[in-house]
Order: sequence, then structure tokens, then C-alpha cells
Amino acid sequence: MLFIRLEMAGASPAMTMDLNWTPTDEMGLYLFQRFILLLATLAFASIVVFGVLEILPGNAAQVMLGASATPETVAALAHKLGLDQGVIVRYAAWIGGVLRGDFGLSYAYDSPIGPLIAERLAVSAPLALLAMLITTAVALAAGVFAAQRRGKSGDVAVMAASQIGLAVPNFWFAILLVLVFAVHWRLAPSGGFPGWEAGLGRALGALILPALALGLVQAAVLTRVTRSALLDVLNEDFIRTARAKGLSRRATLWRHALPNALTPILTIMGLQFANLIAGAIVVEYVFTLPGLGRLVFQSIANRDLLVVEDCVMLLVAIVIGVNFFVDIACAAIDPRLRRRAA
Amino acid sequence: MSDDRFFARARRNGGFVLGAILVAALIAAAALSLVWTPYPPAAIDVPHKLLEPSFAHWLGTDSLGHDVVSQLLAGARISILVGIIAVGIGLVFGVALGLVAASVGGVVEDVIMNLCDFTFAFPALLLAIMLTAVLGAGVVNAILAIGVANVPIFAKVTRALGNGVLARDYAMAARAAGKGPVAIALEHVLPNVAPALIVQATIQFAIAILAEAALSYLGLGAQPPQASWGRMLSDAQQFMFLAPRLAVFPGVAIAMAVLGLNLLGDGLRDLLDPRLRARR
Amino acid sequence: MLLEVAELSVDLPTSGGVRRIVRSASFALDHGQTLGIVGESGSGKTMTALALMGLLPDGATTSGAILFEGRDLLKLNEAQMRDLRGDRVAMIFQEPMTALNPLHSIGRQIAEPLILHRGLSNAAAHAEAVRLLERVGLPDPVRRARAYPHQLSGGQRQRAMIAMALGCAPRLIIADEPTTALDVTVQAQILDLIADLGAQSDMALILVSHDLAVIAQNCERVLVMYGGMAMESGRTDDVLARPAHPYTKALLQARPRVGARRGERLQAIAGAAPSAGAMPKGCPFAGRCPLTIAACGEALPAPVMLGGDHMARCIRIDAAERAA
Ligand SMILES: Nc1ncnc2c1ncn2[C@@H]1O[C@H](COP(=O)(O)OP(=O)(O)OP(=O)(O)O)[C@@H](O)[C@H]1O
Ligand code: SF4
Ligand SMILES: [Mg+2]
Repeated sequence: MLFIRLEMAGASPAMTMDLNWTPTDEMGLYLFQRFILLLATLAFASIVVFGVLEILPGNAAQVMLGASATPETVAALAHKLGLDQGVIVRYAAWIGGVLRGDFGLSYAYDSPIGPLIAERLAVSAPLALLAMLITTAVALAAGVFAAQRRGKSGDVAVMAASQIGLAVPNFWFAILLVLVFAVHWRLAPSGGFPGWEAGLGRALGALILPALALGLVQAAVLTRVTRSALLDVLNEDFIRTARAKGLSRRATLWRHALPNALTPILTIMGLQFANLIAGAIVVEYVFTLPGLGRLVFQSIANRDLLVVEDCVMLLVAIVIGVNFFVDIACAAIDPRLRRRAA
Repeated sequence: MSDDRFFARARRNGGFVLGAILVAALIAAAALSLVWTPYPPAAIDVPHKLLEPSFAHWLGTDSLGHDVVSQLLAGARISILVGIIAVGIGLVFGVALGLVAASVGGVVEDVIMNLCDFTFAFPALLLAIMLTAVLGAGVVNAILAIGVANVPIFAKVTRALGNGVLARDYAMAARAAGKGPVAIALEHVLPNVAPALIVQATIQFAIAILAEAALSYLGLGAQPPQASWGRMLSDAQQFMFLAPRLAVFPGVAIAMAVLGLNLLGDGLRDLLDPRLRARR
Repeated sequence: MLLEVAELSVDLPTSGGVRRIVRSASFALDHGQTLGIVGESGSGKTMTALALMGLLPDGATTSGAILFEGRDLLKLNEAQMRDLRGDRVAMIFQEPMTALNPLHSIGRQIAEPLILHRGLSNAAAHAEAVRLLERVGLPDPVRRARAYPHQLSGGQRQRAMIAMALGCAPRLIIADEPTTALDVTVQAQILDLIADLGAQSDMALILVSHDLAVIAQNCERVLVMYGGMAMESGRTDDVLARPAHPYTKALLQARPRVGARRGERLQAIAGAAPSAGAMPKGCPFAGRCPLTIAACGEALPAPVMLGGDHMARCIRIDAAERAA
């Protein structure tokens, strides 16, 4: 939490004066710069993922086949997977394939990895989106509520609840939800996924508890961030200016305070997204949902390294992409940020 | 600030007191488990499985007949072990990187900070998944993953505060007097950022406990017969209809430990740096 | 009378208990008149101004009366106050750096009260904002209206603030140290601008400052504040020519040089102003005042009228006269 707050404190805008300024140029330039940075970050991430998964172990074929395999079978598999080629060649082949939409072959499923991932994403993506929606709605409402009642009982209650939210592991909360809603009241399934073809209602029904488990726990952090960002803004002089114009408290909150609090909130949401992805993997496991997380674990158990590599790369790319959009959104909101990269 | 005043203010800070009590309980449980548990934590006793809480087994037994109290006590050990080592890794490397970034500045600072920003895309869980995929599951990999994920956090705190310290008069004076950057970093910067690092370490400790529990729950952390709160939960989940209580105790233990550390961290921040208090 | 403030007191809750920030302040102002409020940092100038706007910090309580255009502002509800703010009474703040919303264009911020109070359409309000920017002397107002605060200099921002305050042609403008944060060269321009524009439209002006010279130049009347109390007030000429209160005299002697360093605070009198919680029941200047006697600390000195509406609060006015 301190780390997060320092981040926000560090984001002081550059106070510069520029007379040859036009809005479109500046935003266009910023977009361009951020896009280049995005590509560089993705490239670097792919090298890290490739490096850890393909270079560290020394011999991936050995890992896949286990310690008991004979050298001949290891060599044969290594050849089949192209592991006997140089590192650069292998990296180029992997990345080239991924860019063309060819994620390679799963050794354990003996099928192309692309469709395998797509099938799992159909579960994981809606889960993540639903969870994010819950987090945002709960955190913004609770954070704004608390900030407006600073120090009063409503604020204290929200802060206490969020302190508990910070302490409860999401997978345990998921288990408790199952205990209460599935085991005790039998209102929702305790796990599994009927598939989208079973109808929207049943499919969403299977996702609602996982999304709640994920979203509510994440909301604890974001509530605190929202509250403190809003409190900071409410102390600013321009809030008093807005009131001196004759704006009501409510209009001041919506027109002046919240937009200014939004950039730190969005930034933290972007950083939280990585946790959301990680949390989704765990919560999928609790509810035995056939999502990306399950695929990763099965592949680890099967020693299907390429699937793990593709999945991890995909998750990392999503996180990086989301943060790219957060940066763009912040720059769209705050004209001062557009200049920073320049 | 004199010690007396520190303790006087500490005693009036409710969150700090509660946090300190919970953390003391955590440490006491781990210490106790080293010398005494009601039963050997790893002892399998299938005939006595899934017992209700009783005088013999205060919180009952699990699906293999393990005594739950014994396992909870022993589980505290793993939590603390992972916390200490993972936070230690983060502190050693993170503070070093942060000090270098702040002292050297320029391109070096930019590179280090961009690398730190980059690592947010690899949360501890994803790192652990990658390590497990190639090295196999185990508590060592879990610790490594959590520790590595801690490094950029400590690096950022150290750099941000370090730059502030370096801009102050006494650091400038030290430089003007011909002191080298290493000496300045160790004599002036480090002591000044230490309070913030202590606070951050407390909070990262809590996060490490959560991460260890999640990894062990997923089977990527502590392996049987090691007692771990996360592992206890994954076992309990299979008997949720028969013995739902088993899914409650370990979770409460995790939540109490994390709550304690978070409250202690927040309380320490208030006590060490009253200026930050208003921002909460 | 446009404005009559009678026995205004403001209490603020602090960690050390409730504190009286403004103590029985009284003053009056007619259409088109200018009043300067002077005093060192913490003397309650800003709080007095905020009380007029009805924008005191949460938890503040007030007593006395603020009659504005015949109505007691302290008895109005929030909705009625909102109608006055930005329309009949406007305020210019101390820090142009932070008093403008960084996310909105200058034009949009100036247009906001026009839309609110005058019911102008967005386009009409924008056009009016450009005209206002021109009136406050910003070159190239069309582009300035599109710019964001961080793209303007401090002086330009303060002009934008003035344009915002002028928008609805208020009857009273309160300028709280409008030039403290600005460069010396810009200070005089901004003060002239405020005075000129006020005179043109027959607006009354309350100018808060810690600099007596500024007030001597720009204000017909003056109010000297210390420790939340109005120590002396009257026509500027009278007060400056025949200061009756020991504090005013000290102020005049300690007057900062013309062109003092920007942001410099009046702090040339030995000793410190009473601090939070320590507000004495008697004269706040007691102890620091060279004429202090035991009786000074016992009760709030009553106002002494010195001819015309020249007033001073001191139990030893005669001694002060002799000492002078
Ligand atoms: N929100 C607040 N809560 C409690 N006390 C406050 C608050 N704001 C200001 N004060 C106190 O009220 C007193 C008067 O403050 P005020 O801002 O009116 O002084 P000022 O004369 O405008 O000083 P300056 O020249 O520094 O602007 C000060 O002692 C200050 O410490
Ligand atoms: S009342 Fe006493 S202390 Fe106050 S100004 Fe007059 S002489 Fe000085
Ligand atoms: Mg003031």
C-alpha cells in the first residue's frame, strides 16, 4: 500500500509552458511514443518468458519426459520439437509462429495450441471482465462514500471492511462462498462450467461466485486507493474555486474532484490487473472452471512446456496491453501527462 | 523521538496494538510448534480421520487423521519462513538496486526503474508457474518467485525516498566534502529510508504469506508432508460436504496473520512518519 | 450599504479542541468601495473571507451577522448561498497555480459560472469567456481559452482567475492575497487590473494582503487583523496618518520594503502570534505589545471610536497616543 501511495505522490505533473501547443499533435505524439514502448515491452517480455522456460532447464525434452527417459527418446523428442536447433532460431520460430497466429503443437494433447487456448479464453475472459466490473463498481462506490464521510462512522466501517478484505485470501473467500451458497443454501453450483451452449443464464450462473470471490477481494485495495485519491483531490485549491463559483457539492464532486482522482485510480487498476489475472488462475482452480488457469496446471502436470509458454506469454501480453490502454486513458483525461514522455 | 514517547504513542494507536498482538501470536505459534504440538503434525492416523472437535483434538482431525491444531501451529512456521526469506531477498536486492539508481542517476536510474516497471507484468504467481514448469513444484521455488516479485517494490521505495534524501542539504554537504557515493548512500540515504523500508517490509511480509498460501493451495508450494495453511485448505475443499469446518480454520489463521501484519505496518507508518497519517 | 459585518466570530474544531479563529469582527462596505484587510500570517484574514463566501471548512460554526444586500448570509441555506456565490460575490484565491482545475481548459472554467448563473449555452458562454480573457488583458484570448492551466504562466493564470470572478459582474469581489505568489513585476499589474475593473463596474472590493503598502495604494478603507481580532479599522488615510493601535504602529514601522521578496510574510515584529489552542481570553497582542499591562490579558478590549468611523481595540489608546 505504501508503494502504491508513493507511486501516486511521484506522479506530480511537469509544470511547463509551451506556446506552440495544439491538442491533436500532442496526443498523437504521445500515442506514437507509447505504442513504440508497448512493442518494446512485449518483445522484452517474450524474451523473458522464452528465456525462463526454454533456456533455464537446459533440456526441455528431458523435463518433458522425466528423469527416467533414455537418452535416445530424449534426443528423438528434442529433434521433433526442434530443440536441437540454436536458441535464436528457436526463439524466432516461436515468435514468428505466435505472430502468425500459430501457437505450435501441444505435446500432450497432440493438437494445435491456438484453438486450445481460444476455448479456455471463452471462460477466463468473461470471468476476468465480470470480476473487474464488480471490483470497479464496489470500490468506486465505497471509496467515494468513505471519502465524503472522512472520519465518520461510515468511513470507519468501510475502512475496517477493506482491511479485512486485504487480509482474506481470494481462494479462501471463494471456498467460503461455496460453503455458504453451494453447500449450505444450494443456490449456485459449487464448481464446473456447463459451457456457453448451455445458455447464457446457466453459464453466467457458474461464473458469478468465482467473479464475486475475485472481484470483492480486489475491491479492498481499490477502495482504499479511491478514498485516498479523492481525499487528496478534495483538499486541492481548485475544489474551493469550484465551490466559489456556486457549484453544489455534488456537481463539484462529479465535475472537478472525481476526474482528477481518476488518473491515480486508473493507474492502480492497471497494476491490479496483473493480480486479477493471477487471482483468476487460483479461483478457476477452486471452482474447477475449464479456463486458462486449468490449462496451465494440466500442462505443468503433463510437462507440456510449449503450452505453458504460450499461456504465460498471453497473460503477460494482456497485462501489458491493459496498462498501455490505462496510460492512454490517463493521458486523454489529464493534458499534463501527454507531455511526460516527450 | 525518545523511546518513551514512541511507546506512549504506540499504546494509544489501536490498530498498531491489535496488529502487534496478532503478529506476536503468529510468532508464538511458530515458536511453540518447534518444541511442542499436541500431536506430531505429520502423523497420519486414518482410523481417527475427520473427527469433530473434542477434548483430545481441539479442532478435530482432517481426512488423513492429522490433528488440526498441530497442523495449524506447524503451518505458522512455513508462513514465517517464506515471509522472512522472500522479504529478505526483496530487501537485499531491491534496496541495492534502489540505492544504485538514486546515487548514480541518469541512464542507469532510467534502466533500473524501467525494469522495475516492467516486472509488474509478472506477478509472483506467474513467476512461480514458470519456475514450477521447469524445476518442479516446491517451497523453494515458491520462495524464489515471491522474493523476486518483491525486488522492484523495495527498489522503487528506496529510490523514491533516496532521491529526496540526496537532495537535502546534509547530503549535498557530504558530497561537497568529498565523500564518495557509496559512503553517502550507506551513511545518509540508508538510515533515512530505513523507517519506510521497515513499514514496506511488514506489508510485503503479509503479501508473501498470502502468496505462499495460494501457491501451496495450488500445489506449487509446500509439498506433503509439510504442514501449510494453503495445503490444508486444498485438502479441506475435497471434504467440504462432510467437514466444512476444516475449510474455515486455516483461512482464519491466514487472515489473522495478514491482518496483523497489515495493521502493524500501518501503525508503524503512523508512528514513524506522522506526516503520512493524514493521507490515509 | 452593500455589506455590513457585525460581531462576526468563527470557531473551528481542531485536534486541541474548538478554536476561535475570528473574534467579533465588524466592518462595512458600500457599493464600489474598496476595503483592505491586513495582518500577518494566521491572523484569520482568509477565514474571514471564506465566512463571507459561506465556504468555511467543515465543522466551522459562526456567530454574528453578515448583511449582504440586506440579507443575513449566515441565515441563508446552502442553496441560497450557492445562488450568490460566483454571481453576486466572487472570490480570487491566493495560489493561481493550484486554484485552477488542471484537467479543464481555461475557457471551460471561465464559462462554468456563466452557464450556471446566467443560463448561457455552452457556445455563448465560451464566446463570453474569450471576451473576458481579452478584458483582463491576455493576448490571443481565443487560443488562451483553449489552453490548459499548466500552459500558462502564474500571472496569466491569475488573470484567468480574475476573468472567472468578473464573469457574472458580481457586486463584491474578494481577492485573497491575489499577488503573493507572483513575481514583483507582475504583482503591480494584477493589482491595477483588479482595481481598474472593479472601478469600471462599480464593484466593491475586499483586498486581503499582508502588505500595508499594497493596501494604502488600492483601498479606501483598511482593517488591521491580529490573532483573529480586528484591531483597528477606518479610512485608510486616517489609519495610516494617525494609527492608534500599538499593533498598527508596529506594522507601519515593520512595513516590508516595496518590492519585498515574493511570498514574504509579515513577520517583523518580535515574538510570535498566539498559536492554536493558546488563544488568550484577553487582547491577543498582550505580551508581544510594548504597552502590555495586567489588565490587557483579562478581557477582550472593547472598540474605541476615534472620530469618524476610525476604530481601535486597545485599552491603552491614550498611552499609545502619548507614546507616539
Ligand atoms: N481547516 C482549518 N482547521 C483549523 N484551523 C485552521 C484551518 N485553516 C486555518 N486554520 C487556522 O486558522 C487561523 C487563521 O487562518 P487564516 O488562513 O485565516 O490566516 P491568514 O490570515 O489568511 O494567513 P495567511 O497570511 O497565511 O494566509 C490560523 O491560525 C490557522 O492555523
Ligand atoms: S490591549 Fe494591551 S496588549 Fe492589547 S494592544 Fe492594547 S495595550 Fe497592547
Ligand atoms: Mg490566507
